[in-house]
Amino acid sequence: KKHKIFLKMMTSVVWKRGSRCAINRVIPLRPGRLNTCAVRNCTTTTPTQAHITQTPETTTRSSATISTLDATTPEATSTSATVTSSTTTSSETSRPVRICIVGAGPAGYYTAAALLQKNKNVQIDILEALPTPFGLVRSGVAPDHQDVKSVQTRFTEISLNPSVRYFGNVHVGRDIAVGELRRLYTIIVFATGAAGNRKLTIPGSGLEGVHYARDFVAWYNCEPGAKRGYDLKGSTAAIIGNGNVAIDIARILARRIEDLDQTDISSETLEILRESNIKDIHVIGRRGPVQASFSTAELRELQRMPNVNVIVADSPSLSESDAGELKERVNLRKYDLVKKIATAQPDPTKKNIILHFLKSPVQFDGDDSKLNSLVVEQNVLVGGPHAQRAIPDEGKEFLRINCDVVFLSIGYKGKKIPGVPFDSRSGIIPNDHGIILDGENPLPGLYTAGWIKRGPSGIIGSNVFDAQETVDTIMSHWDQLVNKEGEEEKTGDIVSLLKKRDVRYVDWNGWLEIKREEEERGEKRGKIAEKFVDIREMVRVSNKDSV
Amino acid sequence: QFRETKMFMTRVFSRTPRYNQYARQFGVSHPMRHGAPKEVDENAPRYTVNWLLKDGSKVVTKDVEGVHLLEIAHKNGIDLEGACEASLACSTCHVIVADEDYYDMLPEPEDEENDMLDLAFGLTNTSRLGCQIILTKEIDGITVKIPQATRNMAVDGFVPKPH
Repeated sequence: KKHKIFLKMMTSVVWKRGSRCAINRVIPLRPGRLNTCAVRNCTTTTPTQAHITQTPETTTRSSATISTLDATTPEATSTSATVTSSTTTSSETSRPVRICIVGAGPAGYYTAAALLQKNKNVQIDILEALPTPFGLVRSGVAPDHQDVKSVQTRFTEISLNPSVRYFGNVHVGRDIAVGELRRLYTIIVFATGAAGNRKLTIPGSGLEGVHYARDFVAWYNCEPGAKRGYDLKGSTAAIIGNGNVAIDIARILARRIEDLDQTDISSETLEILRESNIKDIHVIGRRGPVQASFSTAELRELQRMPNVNVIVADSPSLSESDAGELKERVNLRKYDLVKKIATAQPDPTKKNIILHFLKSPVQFDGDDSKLNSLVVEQNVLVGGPHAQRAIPDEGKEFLRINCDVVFLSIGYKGKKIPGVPFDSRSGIIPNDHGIILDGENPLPGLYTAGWIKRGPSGIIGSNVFDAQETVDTIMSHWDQLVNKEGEEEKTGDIVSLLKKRDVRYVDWNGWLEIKREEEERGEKRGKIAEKFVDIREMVRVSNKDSV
Repeated sequence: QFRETKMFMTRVFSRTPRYNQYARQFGVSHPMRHGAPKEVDENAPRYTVNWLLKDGSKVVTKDVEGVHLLEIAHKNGIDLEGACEASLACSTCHVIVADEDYYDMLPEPEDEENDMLDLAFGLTNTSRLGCQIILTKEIDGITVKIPQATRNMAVDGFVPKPH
């Protein structure tokens, strides 16, 4: 017997007398994991409002920017227990359902794709804070990984769908409030990614020469507003972290200039890299090789670089619980590659990328406020398979590693959107399979997808499934959201609001102008593109032909 | 306008070879690259692929030898993403071969494909990347399933332990 949760616009959850329902409780797991846990069955025999009713007090916090909706009495509507989710039930002659997606990265685009697959009568507006679309595909994926960027073709296809409009240079929270979006759109999906950093604050982390990986990546990828000023004249770099971003940085620092100078890497970065003296790059991971977050593919790429030795600092050892984790093929293949790398003979003429495991930085030391070394403690893993933690190994000494520049690559972190619930500890929007929760209450019409929903883990492709899950949740609520009796129709268009407010938004043709210009500039320098770093310049170029 | 843009994007964004260019010199089979459609002989025999889609429905396709399954999916409007356009830089075209017999008939995956499969959602013992399964007479009648996210499974593969 099927059972569904019925959402009412007063955000109370009601179900019929005698029906069973399954509520997925949201239990926050550690950051980086999808924020759902087991399904708990509960029965209720009362037809009254469920115990999760939004009280007026809790409404005020988020309703400041969420417009209050018509009061409806919490009677069970007479609709059937099952909801057809394969196709919409709104008639073709009715107005298209207005949907807003905040964020034009992979999560935003795959959400749009999944919505378009299920619905013909929709209008999807994608809002993006930068003038340019594609999120981390443009500003995160490294310039020597152009084939990973070819997903932009797919995203372009979605943008060109007549039901989709793109609005770049529109910052939700600054140019338009969430409350205003609620008046314009029936459904809003926040897919804003993870715009911030997980911080490491240990003694010396303020020294000159200590940087965040994310800032360095943003800089070499020409992200507007990226921090500049990296001194690579020293001989040794250290990267704290064991993810793909850490490997990206190691690789870019080690890459031959001739393998970079035709890409769309920042020209400023190219000049700094040309003058770089870095020969040794330490990549330092808190846990063991089996737990390292980097992909085997990325490690294999390092191994195959013609001008690089990959060295494993200590002979790789396994904990008891590692054996359990090695039953998973992804871990086994990764560990086998590390073992293989550990046996290779280094060539003294090449640059060195040195992999350290079971080490955590405890302080950075310097001379005259400039970094010259870092101190690490050695760790041991405790706990069962898939639940191992790194703790300091009291029996082992601290080690000093001389270095001239450090990149902290310990994770990205989401940022709060004004007017939307946020868990600042984990950096995600509390949600239940994609519907946003205020405390325990689902907020009707508000959804989330991507890293801001599940934490900053996974690859571009992970968002295909993440978006699918969110859209499945949206479809299960479709009838309640779309065929509301008494709900005022969404009138008005975001275009008039943005124009009135003098927001110089960039539409899809504007983006194509920017792209064309970047490629022309690139051609002059033998590069596939010379990206803009200045938003005002982008906007100016995008409006070239407009009145 | 879309076609122009699509070709334009492909030209620009596939221009720079990735590290894979070095790796492939050592491989036996060459990964398929996104390119212009090959000349098709009208009389060439066509072989069957059975698809089990995400929504549970079934589709049967017929195509000539030499095309890869991602291409076949897109030609037939089957919902299978191919983010990196068959360049072995993603795992979005992951399919599950329904029969172990058919799986065993396929040539062994290269390191590069296995590296991408490692990251695929819902990986099984008979998983392959669709862009690396080349249709041949030998695998006529193969059935492949497109993985679907289930409610109890996190998108990064984490399965919560039952209480």
